[in-house]
Formats: sequence, C-alpha cells, structure tokens
Amino acid sequence: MAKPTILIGIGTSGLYVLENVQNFYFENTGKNKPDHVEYLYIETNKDNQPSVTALDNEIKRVYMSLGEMEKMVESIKNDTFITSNWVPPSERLVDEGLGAGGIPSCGRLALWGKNNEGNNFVNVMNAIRNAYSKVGNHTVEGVEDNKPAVFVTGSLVGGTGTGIFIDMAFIIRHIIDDIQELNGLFLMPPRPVSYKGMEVIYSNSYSAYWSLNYFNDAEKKYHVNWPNHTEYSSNKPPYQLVQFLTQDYNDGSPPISSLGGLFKMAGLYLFLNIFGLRAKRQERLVDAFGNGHLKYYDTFGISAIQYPKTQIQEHIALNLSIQLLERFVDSSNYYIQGYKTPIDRSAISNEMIESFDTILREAFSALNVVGGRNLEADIKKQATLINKGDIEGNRDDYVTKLFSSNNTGNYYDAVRNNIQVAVDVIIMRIAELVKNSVNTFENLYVAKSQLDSLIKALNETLKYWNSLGLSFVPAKWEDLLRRQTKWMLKGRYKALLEQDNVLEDRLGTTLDLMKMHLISKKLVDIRQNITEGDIPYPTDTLPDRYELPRLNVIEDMIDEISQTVGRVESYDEPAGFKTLRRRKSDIESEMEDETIPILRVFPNGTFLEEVEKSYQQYLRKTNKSYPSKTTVIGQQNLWDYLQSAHSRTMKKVLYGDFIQAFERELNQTESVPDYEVSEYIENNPKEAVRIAKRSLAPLLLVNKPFEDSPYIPKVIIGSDSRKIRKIVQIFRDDNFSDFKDKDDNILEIRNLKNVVVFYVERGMLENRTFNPLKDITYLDQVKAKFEAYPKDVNIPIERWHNYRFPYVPLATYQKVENEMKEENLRLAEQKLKENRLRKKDDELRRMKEKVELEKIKQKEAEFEETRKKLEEEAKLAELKKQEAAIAKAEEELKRKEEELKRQLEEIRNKKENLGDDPVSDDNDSENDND
Amino acid sequence: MEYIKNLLNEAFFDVEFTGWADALKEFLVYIIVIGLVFYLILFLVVKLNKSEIHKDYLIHMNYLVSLSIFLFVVTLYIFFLIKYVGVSQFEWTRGNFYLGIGPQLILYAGTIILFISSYSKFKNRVKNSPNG
Repeated sequence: MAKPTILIGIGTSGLYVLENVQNFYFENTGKNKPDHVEYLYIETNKDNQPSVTALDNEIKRVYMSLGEMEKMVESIKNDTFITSNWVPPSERLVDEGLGAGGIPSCGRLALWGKNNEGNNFVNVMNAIRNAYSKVGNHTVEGVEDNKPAVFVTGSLVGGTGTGIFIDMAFIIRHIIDDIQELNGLFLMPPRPVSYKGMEVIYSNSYSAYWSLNYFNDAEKKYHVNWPNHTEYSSNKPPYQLVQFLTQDYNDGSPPISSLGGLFKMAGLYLFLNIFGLRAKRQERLVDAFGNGHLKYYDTFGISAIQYPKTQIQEHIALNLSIQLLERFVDSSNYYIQGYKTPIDRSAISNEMIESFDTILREAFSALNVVGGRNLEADIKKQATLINKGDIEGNRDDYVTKLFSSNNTGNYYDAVRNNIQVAVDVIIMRIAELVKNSVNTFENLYVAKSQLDSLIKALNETLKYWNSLGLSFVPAKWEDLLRRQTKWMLKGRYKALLEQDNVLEDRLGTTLDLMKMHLISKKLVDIRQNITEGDIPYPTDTLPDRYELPRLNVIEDMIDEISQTVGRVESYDEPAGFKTLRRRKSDIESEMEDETIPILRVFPNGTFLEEVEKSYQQYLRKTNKSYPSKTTVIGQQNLWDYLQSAHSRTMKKVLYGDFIQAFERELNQTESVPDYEVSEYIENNPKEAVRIAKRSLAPLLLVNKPFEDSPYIPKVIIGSDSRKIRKIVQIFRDDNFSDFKDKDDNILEIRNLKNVVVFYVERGMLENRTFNPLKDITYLDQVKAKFEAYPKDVNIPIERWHNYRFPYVPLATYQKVENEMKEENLRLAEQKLKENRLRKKDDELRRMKEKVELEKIKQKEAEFEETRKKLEEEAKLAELKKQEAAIAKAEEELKRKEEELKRQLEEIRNKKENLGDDPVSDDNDSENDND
Repeated sequence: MEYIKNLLNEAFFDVEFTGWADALKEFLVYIIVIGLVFYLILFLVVKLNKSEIHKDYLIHMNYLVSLSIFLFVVTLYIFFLIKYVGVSQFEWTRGNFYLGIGPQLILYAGTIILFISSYSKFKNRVKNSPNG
C-alpha cells in the first residue's frame, strides 16, 4: 500500500503544478488521482479556479479572501494575543480580490485574516485537516511512520507563495504531529536578464531564500501566536527538504522557454513521487542526510523519452468532439446518417404552419370536455331546443347568454376555467416538436428555425383573429357575440330541413370563436415566453412536466457550444476554462516545444501523422465514418441532455462529457496502441543519450558544479527493470555511463507506460551541502538590488522590508546580516592568514626543494666525474694493454728478426763452410736492401 | 288529369303565342314546375351529401351543385323541346315566336348567371367570413 501523500499548491503557480500532476496521473491511469493522495490548492486570487479536466477535477480549492483589508488588519492588530508585528499598515494595500498583489505581507495577511467571507486561517487549517483525515485511511502496514508525506509547491515570486510558505510548513507540522516527510518544491525566477521592473519579483524570491535559510538555523525559533489563539513554537526547520527549480539549466542550454514547461517538469516530478519515486528517493536520502551529503536544500535535473499516447488520444477526442459539437451549431447544414443536408428554411416554415394548425386544433378539442360535460353534445341538444322554441325567453337572449362573459355557468365560464388544459396541450406539443427535431436533426439551428416559424404562424393566426374582431378583451367579445347571435339565428335552411344541423354548426363556430377569444391572451404569453422568456413556462395540469422551449435558451446553447468549441474568435475565455480548439493547439505546440526536456517519439513520423493514423484506426474499429452522439449520450434524447447540461455549467459539462466519452471509446477500441520506448532507444541510441544527458544538468544556475554522491538519487524510471538495464547497456555502448546498472539507479513502475524518465537529484558541491544563498550565481546581485531599492525609489526602508519580509523584522535581518558580514570578515581574515602561512610554507618548501635540487645536481656532477674518471681509466688500461700487445709484438718481431738473423748467420756460416757461391751471394745482397 | 297533361304540354312544348291570358297561365305552371324540380334536386343533393364541413358552406356548395344539375336538366328539356316542335317550325323573324320561347331562353341564361354569381359569392364568403 502506498504511503498517503498530500500535495498542497500555494498560489496560482501551485495550482498549475498540481494540474500537471493530475494530467500526468490521468495519462497513466485514466484517473485524476489515487485514493491515497489529496490535492489541495490555496489561493488569494478570486478569479483563479482549477480548470476543466476530462474527469472531475480533484484539486480542492481553498480561497483566502483579501476583501475588507482594513478590517482584516484591525482584527489582527486589535487582538493582543495574536502576533502582529509583521502586519503591514492597512493604508496603501492592494485592492480587493486581486490576489496578494505581489506583496508577501499581504499574502501572509490573507492567511491570517478574517472578514465577512470567512476566517481564512481556520479554513486553511480545516482543509488540511480534512485532507489529512482522508489520506489517513490509507496507512502503510508494517511501517512505523505512517504519517503522510506532504509536498508543498508553488512559486516564491509573488505575494501568496512567499507570504505563506513558512507558516504553511508549521501549520502542517502542527496538524500532523511528528511528520517526517515535509517537502517543499518551489519555483524560483531564472537568471535575470534585467532587473528593471522585476525588482519586486526578485526581492520576494530573495526574501524567501533568506527567510527559509533563517528558520533552517536550529538556533532560530519560529515562535508565533496564531490567529486561532494557538501559541506555536518550533526550532525545527520548516521543511525536511526544499527543492528549488528555475527555468535555467546549469549546463548553459537554452532555458525552458515558458513557465508552462517549468510547471510541467515540476508536475512530472511530483507525479513520479506519488507514483513510486518518493519511496525510492527516501531510501537513498536517509543515507544522504546521514552522511552529510544533503541538508535542507537540493534540486534536480529530469528528462524523459515519451510516446505521448494520451496526448494523441486527447487530440483525437478533441477532434471528434469538435466535429460533433460543430454539427449541432452548423447554421446552414444538418446531417442525417452523416450526410450533409442544407437547412431549407422555407420548407420548415410551411411545415410549422401546418404543425401549428394541428396543435391549435388539438388544444381546442381538449377544451370540449369540461368536468365530464361534453360541450359538443351539449350544443347539439341546445340547437334542437332553440329550433323547437323549447327555451326560456327570447331566442336572441338565450343564445347570447350561452356565450356571454357576463353570465356564469355557461359555455364561456366553463371554457375560461378550463383554458389551462389547452395551454398545456400547446406547450407539450411544441416541447415535443423541438425535442424530436433536435434529436433527429442534431442541429440547434433547425430547432431555432422551427421555433421562429412557429412564432410566425402564431403571429399570423393572432393577426387573422384580430381581423375578425377577436380580442382577449371581454367587451369586444360581447360586440362580436351580438353579431354572431344575429347570424346564428338568421336563415337556418328550414326549407331543406337542415335547421338543427345548421344551428349546431353555427353554435359550434361561435364556441370556437369564444375559445379563440379566451386563448388569445395565453397565446401572447406563450409567444413572449418563446421569444424572450427568462424563466421557463411549464405545464401545470399534465402528469409529466413539459417546459416551453425558449429561443434564448437555444441561442444560449448555440453560444455555449460555439464557445466550448472555440469558434467565436473574439470570445474571452473565462478563468479556468479552455476551449476545445485552444486545448488542441496547446497540445500541438507542446509537442513541438524543444526546451522541455521531454523527447516525444512517434513510430509513424510526426505527431499529426500519428494522430491521423490512430483516427483512421478508430473509424475502422468502431465501424463509423463520423462521430456519433450515441458515443456521448447513449440512447438519451439529445435535447434532454442539452437542457440538463444547460442548467448546469454547460461549457464544463460538454467539455468533460464529450472528451471523456470519446477518450473512453478510444481506450476501449485500443485505437492508439502502446509503444515500447526502449525500442526507440535501441534504434536511436545517440538521440536517447542526448536526452538522458539533459537530466544531468539541474534546473538551477549555481557557481560551482554539482558533485555526484552515491547517496543522492540518480534513477532511470520505466515500466520494466529488464528493459531499463538494457537501456543502461545501450548507453554504455555509446560511451555514456553516468547511469549505473545497480538496483539503486533503477525504478520499475509497472503502470508507467510509454515513457522512460531520467532523474538526477543534486545537492552537493565542493564537498559540502548546497546552500542557495551561497551558491546560486545571481543571488549576490539580487541582494544588492534588494538593499538598494528603497534608496533608488525613495521609499522608507522599513516599509519596503515590511512588505517583502513577513517573517523576519528589519532589525533581525540587519542583525543577522551584520553577523554574517562579521563572520564573513572573520572568515576572510582567516583565509588571508591561511593564505599568508601557505605562502611562507610554499617558499620554505620551494627553498628546500632548491637545496635538494642543488645537492642532487652536485651528486650528479660527482657521479659524472667519477664516471668519466672510470671511463678514462678503462681507456688507459686498454691503451696499456694495447701497448703491451704492441711491445709484445715488437718483441716477437725482434725475436723473429734475431731468429732470421741467426738463421742468416747460420746460413752464411754454412755458406762459408760450403764455399763461395756467386749466385747465392747476389740473392743475399738483394734481401739486405729490403 | 288530361287537363293537367294539356296544361303541362302547352306550358313546356308550345312555342306559339296565343294571347296574354293563356301565356300567363302557362307561365305560372312553367315557373312552379321548374321551381319544384330545382327544389327536389337541391333537397336530394343536400340529403345525400354526408360531408363534415360547415353546414352553411355545405348548403351553399350543394346549391351550386344543384344549379349545375338543373342546368343539365334544362338542357335536356330544350333538346326535347326542339325535337318535339321541329326546327322548321321556328319562325325566327316573328316577334310572337320570341314571346313563346322567351321563358326557356331566360331559364337557360338565368341558370348560368345564377351559378356564376352564386359561385363568386361563395368564394368571397369562404375567404372572409369568420363563421366557417
């Protein structure tokens, strides 16, 4: 069972974020929220309402009225118990109903104040209590902490958000005792391009950063007496963890182009949290807090690859709804079985003249029976009596008395008392006519034209009656009656024995004239009600209630339907309402927005191609060639449906019913099949890596790069862990290995179809925890601007501070700032000293190094010398060796010479011994020369 | 009986002028018989017509119908008159002949004129009268 969660949006941005959460949830589950989650939205702007969604909007709105501001201020100031040192003076405050006017103190005042519209503080508390008790039924089994997780979201740039976000945290802490997971997700302004005209916004955000930082300090206490006469004191930080998001990427990519995109990302994040990410994060965060890798603040980067099935379905449903609704208000054609037929107004007119005639006849004959007495039979009897002369007094008087308005108990009296019966018949028949016509032709212009023609026929009839001398004035009737009496009694064709028949006929004619006289006033009423009636003209005596259809109702319906579709271009959209066409173009432009880090993938090409293909699929599967009203209203009569919608808020009813019905049908027929995003990633790894890398850059500009921490969550979220592992592998093959194949980095959410999300949380830099006041690049400038502003525009600094800083008085702010300055100074001095020391150290080290180096050099030189010496010695030895060898060789040579000489001596001796030989002598002399 | 037969014969099939006294007597018979015949036709037509429309109109309409039927009867009578007398007996140049044939001619023309005037009167009544 999932942990109960409450999402609280504050201010208009809070509402938009919650709407995105709701949309994401609807996309994935077909429901607006799970049972264990409650959406709450607190607003000071009267006009902002949660918008229309396909299902009933689940975002509960708590309106904090800022009316009668003086009274609110007084009510707080006059109560000595309530802490009121922060309350701005009542003069110069914003006008009624326009939100907190960008003044955080007004936002806080809205939360604390009460006026004739209610007690805001109590309302907010009750709303949170209600939400708590609702989600309280979904506690987690077997887990000690079964308190809900609460996420407060909104932007801290306007009056409402900045004014109440800290009170809000402590109110929640007060209501939900010992709450563990109280998180803030706040949207902040991006890096300023220029401060001109933006001073208030940036000052408010600075106030928010500063005040939050102030209360995060364990030494600073939040101690107030609330307007519900509760003293509350806490030195806990307001939120366990606050996450800041802006439109800026930390890696220099172009910022998210629209605030809508930022709301979407915040919405995606919160949605994932209620859908499984929260638990996964929490596992890691415990370690992150424990190891000092995270404290109070962080931010995140998020990106996704998505097959936008829901948007495709919604686009088709919108198209079908537009087609169908436009058919209802097509002024020149109606459709029968999908075939376009022009509206023939003259044919309708002729038909209506006949119809009106029939209706009148039926109404008149309904008047013939009065209280069980049949006037027709009675007249027959009277005719015989009169002809026979079987009557009292003279004939003329007798006949006159039957029809005169001056007598009672006669025909006149009977019909007059019974006239409502005829009126009911007329109303019923006209109502049926319109009902059938609207249901058959599905076109309100046909019905309108019919009613117009009916009125024309009625006018003609009244005109004709008038020409006969008929009027609803009784005196005029008496005149006519005198003439009639004469006519009735003259020449009754006695000769032909027809006197009874003739007189009966003439009496009948007079009775009809009398009915006309009596009903003509009612016909005028009916005409007036049809043409300009504001309240319905119902039947009185019929068992079933019928209402006379009115032209302004039909016109109103036409207007409302046209406005729902968005046909009327000059039409101003009411707060919280989107026309069908507008929603359609919103979807289209959203699909094209490149600055949102969601890559939309379409297996069939582009978004519109995808839509077209699925639309054809829908037509094939439902066996239709055009959208049919039965999809939306089943067998119900269209006129009945439109009437009941009209009696509620028609636009919202139509918007909801139509889109919902078509979406349901699209779902049932599975016209838009699911698509496995990992397939896309497999085929387009480069593109997928590009998108995944975007999640590495958080949506916040900081001075130093964020560092990775093993404890801060970094997750790929998809519907199947096996496929996620495959994606990680594909990324690794593409030299992108930031996401690991570990369980900590993988989150499987089975119901999360058609999307893969990359989520990287960031909260550590320079080996310490992130602190926005220190680390956000432009906050120093913002602070300087904030402090210089009162001088620049020449307003008292007290008022400026009082407006911007509802939680910290000026004196405290200055004190803390001075302390901080001193601390900074001290730190700077320390740093300086450290620097000096370090410099000396460096010098010493350098000198040591130099000495060392010289020693080494010396040694090297010595070594070289020795080496050279050794070398020389070696050479010398060699030389000596060679000399010895040479000497040896010379010795040998000498020895050989001596030997030779000796041999020569020997030979000479031999020669001398042997005798003189001249030849031998010659040879010897030659050798000597050599 | 024979007398009545002669009287009718003279009144209807004698085109000779035999003096004012006779003519007057024959004319009276002629008128009475003609009137009776027309009344009978009208009565029958009225009684036989079962239409539901307003009796005043019905009778007026039936009157027109009766006139038409009567014109047909008169035409038949003129045919037999001419057959009976023989065209050669008609002396177109004598004044007395016109005195004798006058009632027949007046009856014929009169019926047509009566029909036309009555018809236009009926038309006006249908258009303008409240009592219909």
